[in-house]
Amino acid sequence: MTVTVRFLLNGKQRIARAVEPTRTVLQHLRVHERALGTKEGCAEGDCGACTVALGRPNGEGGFDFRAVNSCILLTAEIDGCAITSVEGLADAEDRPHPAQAKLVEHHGSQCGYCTPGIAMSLFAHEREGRGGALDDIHQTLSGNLCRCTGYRPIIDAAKDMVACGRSVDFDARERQWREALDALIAEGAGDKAQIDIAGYEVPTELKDLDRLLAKHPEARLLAGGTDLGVAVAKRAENPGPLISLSRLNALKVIEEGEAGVVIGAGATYEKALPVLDRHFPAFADIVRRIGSRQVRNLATIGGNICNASPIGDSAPCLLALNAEVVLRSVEGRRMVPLDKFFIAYRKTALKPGEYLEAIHVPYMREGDVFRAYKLSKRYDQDISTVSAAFVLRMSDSKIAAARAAFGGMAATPARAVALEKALVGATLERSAELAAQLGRDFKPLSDFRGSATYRLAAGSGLVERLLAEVANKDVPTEVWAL
Amino acid sequence: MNVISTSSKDGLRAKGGVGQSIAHESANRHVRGSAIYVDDMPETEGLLHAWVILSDRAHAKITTLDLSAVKVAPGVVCVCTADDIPGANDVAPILSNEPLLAKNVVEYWGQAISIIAAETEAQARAAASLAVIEYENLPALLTIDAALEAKSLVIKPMVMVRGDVDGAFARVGHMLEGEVRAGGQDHFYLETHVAQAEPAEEDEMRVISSTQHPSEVQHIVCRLLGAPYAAITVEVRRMGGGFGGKESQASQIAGMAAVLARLSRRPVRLRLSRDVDMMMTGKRHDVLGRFKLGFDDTGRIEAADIVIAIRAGNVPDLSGPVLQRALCHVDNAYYLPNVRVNGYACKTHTVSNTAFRGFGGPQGMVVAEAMIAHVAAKLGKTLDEVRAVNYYGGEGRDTTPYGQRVTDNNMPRILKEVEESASIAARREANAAFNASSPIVKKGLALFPLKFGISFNMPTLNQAGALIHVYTDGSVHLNQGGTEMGQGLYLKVAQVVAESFQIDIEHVRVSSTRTDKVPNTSATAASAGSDLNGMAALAAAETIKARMRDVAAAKFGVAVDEVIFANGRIYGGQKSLSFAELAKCCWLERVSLSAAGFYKTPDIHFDAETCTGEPFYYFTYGVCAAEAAIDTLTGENRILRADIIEDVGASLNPVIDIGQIEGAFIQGMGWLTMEELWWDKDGRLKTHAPSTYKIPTSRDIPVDFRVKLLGDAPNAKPTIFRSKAIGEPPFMLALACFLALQDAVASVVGAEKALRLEAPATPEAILRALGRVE
Ligand SMILES: Cc1cc2nc3c(=O)[nH]c(=O)nc-3n(C[C@H](O)[C@H](O)[C@H](O)COP(=O)(O)OP(=O)(O)OC[C@H]3O[C@@H](n4cnc5c(N)ncnc54)[C@H](O)[C@@H]3O)c2cc1C
Ligand code: FES
Ligand code: FES
Repeated sequence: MTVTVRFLLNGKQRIARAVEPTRTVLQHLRVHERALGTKEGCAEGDCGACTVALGRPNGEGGFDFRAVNSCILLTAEIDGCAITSVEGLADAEDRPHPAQAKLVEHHGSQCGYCTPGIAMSLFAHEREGRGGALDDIHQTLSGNLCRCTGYRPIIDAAKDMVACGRSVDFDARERQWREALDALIAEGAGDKAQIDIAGYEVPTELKDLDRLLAKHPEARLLAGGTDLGVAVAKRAENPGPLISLSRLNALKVIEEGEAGVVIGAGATYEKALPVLDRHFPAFADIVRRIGSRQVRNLATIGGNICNASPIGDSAPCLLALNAEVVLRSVEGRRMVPLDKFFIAYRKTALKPGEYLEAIHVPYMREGDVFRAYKLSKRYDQDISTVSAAFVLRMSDSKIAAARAAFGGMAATPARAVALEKALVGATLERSAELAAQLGRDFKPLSDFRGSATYRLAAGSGLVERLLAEVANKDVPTEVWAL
Repeated sequence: MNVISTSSKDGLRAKGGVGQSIAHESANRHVRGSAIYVDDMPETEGLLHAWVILSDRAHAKITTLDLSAVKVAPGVVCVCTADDIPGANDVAPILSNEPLLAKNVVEYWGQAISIIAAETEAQARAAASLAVIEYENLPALLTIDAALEAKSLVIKPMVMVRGDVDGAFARVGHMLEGEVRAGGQDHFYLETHVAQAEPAEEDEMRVISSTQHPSEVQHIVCRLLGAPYAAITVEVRRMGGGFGGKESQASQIAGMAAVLARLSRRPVRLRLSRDVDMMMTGKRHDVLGRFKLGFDDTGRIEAADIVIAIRAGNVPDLSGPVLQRALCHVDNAYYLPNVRVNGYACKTHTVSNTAFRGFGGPQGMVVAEAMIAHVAAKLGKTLDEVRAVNYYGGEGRDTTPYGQRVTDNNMPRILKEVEESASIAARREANAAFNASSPIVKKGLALFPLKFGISFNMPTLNQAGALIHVYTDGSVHLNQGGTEMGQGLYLKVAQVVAESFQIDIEHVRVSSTRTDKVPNTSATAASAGSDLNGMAALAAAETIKARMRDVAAAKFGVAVDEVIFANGRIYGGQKSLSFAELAKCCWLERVSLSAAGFYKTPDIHFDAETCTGEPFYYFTYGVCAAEAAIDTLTGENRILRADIIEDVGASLNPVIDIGQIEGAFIQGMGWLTMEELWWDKDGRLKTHAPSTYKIPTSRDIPVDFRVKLLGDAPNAKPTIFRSKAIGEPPFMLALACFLALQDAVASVVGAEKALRLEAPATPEAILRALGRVE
């Protein structure tokens, strides 16, 4: 079973035939295109050496270029897109893109192995029109490891690149490329049938997805593919038949409704961020620490929930916010509260043939306090050792109601019911005794991210932090605030 | 040879000579993705790809090794076990009996058992999963403590003694005993190990290897194949990072490719996946230090009885020299009048540890600083007060435990400059005020003074060669024995040659490092790359230059010493020629424009048995002041500021040196704060990829990061243009970060309890030291 993929590579039309659905973009570039500037450093989305810019056609005659990890992105998924790799950055006269020129000027490369990936992340930063705020630059670089330089010159290069302004040359190139892509797609309209071979399906309507899943309940849904892609690339697993959600625009919608926000299961983190920032800023801050920008450009909140990892980072926030999930199949829809969705270790309430359509997150009430924390060995791009989210309803400076949810403390993300009870009626004061209630809720495991005792101590520490932080805004409660 | 003075005429200097801040020779290729690494080489006709089958036991007898399914898997061309190796199954860099492929018994989880070559990498990998291997478990020693208890060592213990230790203990006013631990570290070069072997006629072969030590790869490939050294050529253009990880370990990967190429008679490429790389190849040694100290009321150490134990892993590899360097740096910047150090390289059933930036130096200094910290805690003094009475300097206090005098000690000057420029006193006060009003987040601040010895401990290794050709168009081809792993060695050596010839650096082409151009080389290691190879290249350039000068003198009709090379031209009397014109003249006159250069470091000697001598040509110095913050509820921590002044002598290239300092420092910070190697109880490494093993990202660098080179401090020794080595020393400056974190912990639990902090100071380690986690 293979597919035909039409895409642009650095502005050149490409028709890749006989592509196995498990072939990653990195493999395609290095093995089949012999485009060797893009490197492999880990094959699991964690080092950034393989970073390319994935351009989806936008409404302005160009592309939305985003940095992605080509090592975990399946080639089949770039059908109809433009890929820019490091070889495509220089202009027609072979002058380097500012991302490249500034890296040279600031001595941002030593061994050079990370450099193409870093150039691509900076390029995407420029294309997205991002500014020179240090936090934004750190986010842009969060998925690019460099073992040689210590990053300072790379950060300087990024700032300097931003100061140069937008690359007008690339704007012009985007328009030309868009014409080339549109022509390629038009020409390929006839061979769409080739894609619809059992084994890799790309439905465009939800009702088609309903039917497909009913017929092939064993098929795996492919959203951003940042979990699935790792299994394929790093562990050489064969995921079996795949149904790509990439063309289901209905799943990507984010609505700010009457009662709350409805997040389509296929919405990426980066797309969701502006809305989350408006309504659930603490959740947005957590999202900005999920993976790297490359990961967040592809990964979905829906995928995170369905992956049902005990350390999935959106779960504690959504649990604390009392979210509900919409599960859909040919038989219709059903709403399930999120705390009933996670059943056991990596098991969800999804039945065969059913999928996650959307997540309903009710707005908080005026005066509700919402806080979320993530603990990991490293601030950016690390999996949580412990994570926690709290929603407190206050009355007369006492806690009237509390929802508390944790990740990394049990086989699933879970609410801390005993702690919630203990919090009710408490005043906002740092209290180790109250925090220790967590021990009644959880018996965490020990692993390489942390021992059981650390998880419990640090989890309790987060409860203390919550109380201290809400009680007194003047005292620093996190090292990140300094 | 001595240092030549740089020549110039009318104030003009060639572009890119020494001392100039110019960009890495490959910077433009790096950013364009056109720099070629081993895995980017053209796939020659018939190229096979290899994969390695690893053990999944720490210590076990292999009872079944059934590769029948592997052999018939699609695309498989060649399957090799220990028995199929044509020569000796031994990749030991110094000693012997260090197998390439395990035979009968596996000694660590991740040890190579068999190698496969197939038409594609995917086929080789798929085939590997078909191997049927059964084991019978044997008892495994997994930790330093377990190995010490079992007296399990890979080499005999090392002892370094000076003075009358026991007598001194009897005289001192105070005594204490202490212990310190620091974890290992994966190199995490971005490019994993990779090699390609191309068989040629009969027993000849070309091996392209991502290696810091092409000569050793050559020797070991020859040992595995049973071929003379002259039959094998090893080549490396660049590595995507090395850090010591590609010093001895690269020969395993190159050896596997070479064996498969010999057996299949086809070219073979082996590129380790990140996971295989991290499971199979060695890392920095973790260390356990124990000490008994005798000292006076001021904190001056009179007697020290020290044990340094490092985890060697299953075989010695380079553990002997690593341990030796640890012993030679346990004094750091402090005079220890009566001292005994016992060193143990522990044999464990874990991967064999190896060279890593600092090469035992960091481990030695961890112990040195723990000793200072223990004395300070005991006496209620600050680290700086205790250091002040222990520094080298003053009457009779200038000889290291191994007997080398510490001359040209730049430490007092650097310390003073850092204390002033970093406003240490004022910031200490500000931090104390902050801590008094901040119940959850606490700050700490600490200095770390560094003294590091430069040269390989083993005198023989301190030699280098270079080969230079000047062509008749004036372009220069430079080949030297050192390898390029990002540190800018090729550039620095090219700068030396440009300086010598007084031509712009763009006329100097550095070619890949090859054993058939410069033979019998040492590893590019010990920070000595530019010291050694720069001198060798200078020797070669000066040889050619002397010949050119003779030709020019005759042509100009002036005396030889009136000929001046300056800014791309050669002048004599009223006449001048361009460098290219003179090169052409030399050719017309049948004068050779090619020369080899050689250098050996003078004045060094060392007796490894007694650990005495003068192993180091000179010392480098540096000081870092770091400020850190900890979260007492979660253990999260952050480095807020670091001020560094590093002594690089007269820098060959300041921006390259700054880059080395920053990069090394952040790597050291990673080692001491977040990078954690974690084995489960069965000896499986569970952190073998970046998803689980966390190295610093851009946000982790100090919020305020100030790096300076010590000004106006030419090396007192006649090194290459009076520069000093830079690769390793700044790695250890990161100890300031660890000490700053310890200081922050001390602000909560007191200095004595803060000594519990272990490296890496992960959030969990911080909470442990705070007593919040059992
Ligand atoms: C480098 C890296 C870093 C990461 N860091 C973090 C982190 O910090 N925190 C964190 O929580 N996660 C992290 N992840 C994991 C991953 O990115 C997230 O879980 C992500 O949200 C998954 O979304 P996706 O769209 O990529 O899922 P996919 O990989 O496409 O899918 C994940 C699973 O969910 C199923 N699925 C997807 N959509 C649906 C649907 N609509 N209905 C039913 N089933 C569905 C898929 O079949 C699959 O089994 C990281 C991953 C990588 C590679
Ligand atoms: S290769 Fe490391 S992120 Fe893709
Ligand atoms: S320059 Fe070597 S990893 Fe970044």
